[in-house]
Amino acid sequence: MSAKTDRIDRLAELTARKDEGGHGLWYEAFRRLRRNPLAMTGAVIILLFVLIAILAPWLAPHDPAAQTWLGEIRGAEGFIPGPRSGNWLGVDGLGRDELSRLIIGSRQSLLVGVVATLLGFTAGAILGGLSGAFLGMFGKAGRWVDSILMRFNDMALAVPSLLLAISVATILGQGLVTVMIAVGVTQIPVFARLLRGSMLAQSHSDYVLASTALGVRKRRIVLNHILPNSMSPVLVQATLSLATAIIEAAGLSFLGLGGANAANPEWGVMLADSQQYLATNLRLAVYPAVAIIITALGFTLLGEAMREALDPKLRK
Amino acid sequence: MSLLSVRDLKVHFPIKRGVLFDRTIGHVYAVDGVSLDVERGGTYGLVGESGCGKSTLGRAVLRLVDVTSGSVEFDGKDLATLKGEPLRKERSRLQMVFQDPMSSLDPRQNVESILSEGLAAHGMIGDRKARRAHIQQTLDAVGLPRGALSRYPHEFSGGQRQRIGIARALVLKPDVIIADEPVSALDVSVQAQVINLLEELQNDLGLTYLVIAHDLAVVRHISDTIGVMYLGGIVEEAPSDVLYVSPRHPYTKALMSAVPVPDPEVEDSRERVLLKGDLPSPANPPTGCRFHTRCPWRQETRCDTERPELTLVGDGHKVACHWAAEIEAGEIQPKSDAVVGATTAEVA
Ligand SMILES: Nc1ncnc2c1ncn2[C@@H]1O[C@H](COP(=O)(O)OP(=O)(O)OP(=O)(O)O)[C@@H](O)[C@H]1O
Ligand SMILES: [Mg+2]
Repeated sequence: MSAKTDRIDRLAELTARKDEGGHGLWYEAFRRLRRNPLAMTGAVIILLFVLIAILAPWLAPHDPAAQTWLGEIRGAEGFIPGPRSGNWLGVDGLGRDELSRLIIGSRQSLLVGVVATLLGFTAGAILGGLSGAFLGMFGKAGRWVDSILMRFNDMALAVPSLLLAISVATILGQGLVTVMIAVGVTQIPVFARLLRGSMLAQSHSDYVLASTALGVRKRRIVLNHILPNSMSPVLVQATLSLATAIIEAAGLSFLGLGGANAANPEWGVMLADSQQYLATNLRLAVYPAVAIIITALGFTLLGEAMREALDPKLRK
Repeated sequence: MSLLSVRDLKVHFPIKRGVLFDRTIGHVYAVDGVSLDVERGGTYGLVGESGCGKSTLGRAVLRLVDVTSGSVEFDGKDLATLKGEPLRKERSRLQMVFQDPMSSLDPRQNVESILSEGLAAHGMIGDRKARRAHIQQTLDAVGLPRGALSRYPHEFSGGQRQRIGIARALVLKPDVIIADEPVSALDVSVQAQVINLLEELQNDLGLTYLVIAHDLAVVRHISDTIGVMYLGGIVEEAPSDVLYVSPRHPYTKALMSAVPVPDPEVEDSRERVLLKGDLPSPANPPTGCRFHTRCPWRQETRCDTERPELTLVGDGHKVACHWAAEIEAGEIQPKSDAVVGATTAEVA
């Protein structure tokens, strides 16, 4: 299958492997994470990002919506002031403080990222969990249900996610909620395949055989053993998904599907707004772009490091 | 009547491929026509190389894998055809001890929860106090401290974990325990302790064992009867002292060559059978006698075409070899390079 599904499947199988040490899988993984400078960089970026988003109203030096310096721009015949003592990153084309807009904008990204990922996680986990449960509990009929669910899932997975998000957003119309749903929807098949694969891998493990041999009912085995032990790869994926979600959310806003709102700046919208000044004021495009990249990078670094820490084959 | 009686048991795993829908493109003949009997209170030792289907056989008896055909008669019932609730209820009477004590324990369950799960599943719980008492009794029996109840598997050593695995099986008061390589994941120093524990428990509780191992040394002194398995089938079965003194099947002779004999004089003078080649794939087993591709005594006739039946050759001694009698009488000679006295033997 595709590289995307291969990656998901590889992640799904991780926790099913035998643990070498006496300690828990996560205990070992965290020890390795702590020694990995990339993981720590990612964690620091994420921590800063979350702190900035939470404390944004107190951190932002100015009102992000107030066009305080619009008169100045008009007076200077369209010249937009760059970084200076009152406005560390300068002002934007409508005379608003750029730094304040970036800081407040982080909230939107965090909100969309978290809500979209939660949505994808929840719906995907339900779908994948059901599929895996059917597979484990209902014999031949269950395998059929699982097979059909997963074929559809794979089809959804094969559609480029931004395209899928745009389609969903077009149907739902503009708005913040639209972006969250659209981005969340693209994550559903990823989580579904992952959890189902993870459950499948767990269901072949010895302790599941042992429970079956004890005469424990299948439903109980699935709910009490297979499901809880299948969650670690899903948590890793959630971290990685946050990066994708933040980028996709910015993409959708950039395309004008986010429902522009002057009081609530958003990095994607800021990027879109900067287009008309590209020739003269490239920095207006660079700031939000860098913000998006660094944030996404933070989640990717940590997520990939977690993958690596859990995966003995990726480890050197 | 034996307590457990397996007849012509087959487990064939389908090999599936397919882009959209899976197609069966072949089978792994993991267990292919095995019959054996385990007497009440006795121990049947099953040995064979890795991949010959020992675990699959053990799991098939417990219905942990799907049985393709054959029967597993246990105390008058055919387990192979039982389904659903009746099968689940029957499970309390046959239990399994696994090879890897770590992976066979759920890392999220503490010992008390591990040991009560089976009791709950069979409604054997009684009141809380009675259950606790029973669990603690079981812990005592396997030699674990009482304080173990609230601890998790990763807090124990390998040998202790295997004791938890044994306790989990015991707590249901089963008649039969199938132990799949119960000590091969353990340090040599604790292997003997665990084997001794299994023996003690058998004496105290009258348990019936099917013990699986990949080398003869482990099952040697605890088994009454030993069956030697090769590529899905049993090639020789005999009371354990008989098997050690006079192995008849060429494959058993080869396995024996690998077991050191304590007496140095015997060790130096005995014949050794060296096997060439690898174990053939169980997905594509040789025709006729499964062992003919590696057998030093292979003959032009019958071996390649006809699968030998397990036939009685002595008191409780069964061999599946067309030429067992001729080999024993020395009428057939092995290929010259395959059997060597120890003086000329290079360790293969
Ligand atoms: N669920 C399965 N699906 C497909 N093939 C399987 C399955 N389980 C086992 N096999 C195959 O059946 C054959 C016998 O496996 P089995 O585990 O029974 O061997 P074994 O004698 O226990 O070996 P070992 O000493 O390595 O444990 C092997 O070739 C194995 O690959
Ligand atoms: Mg095995």
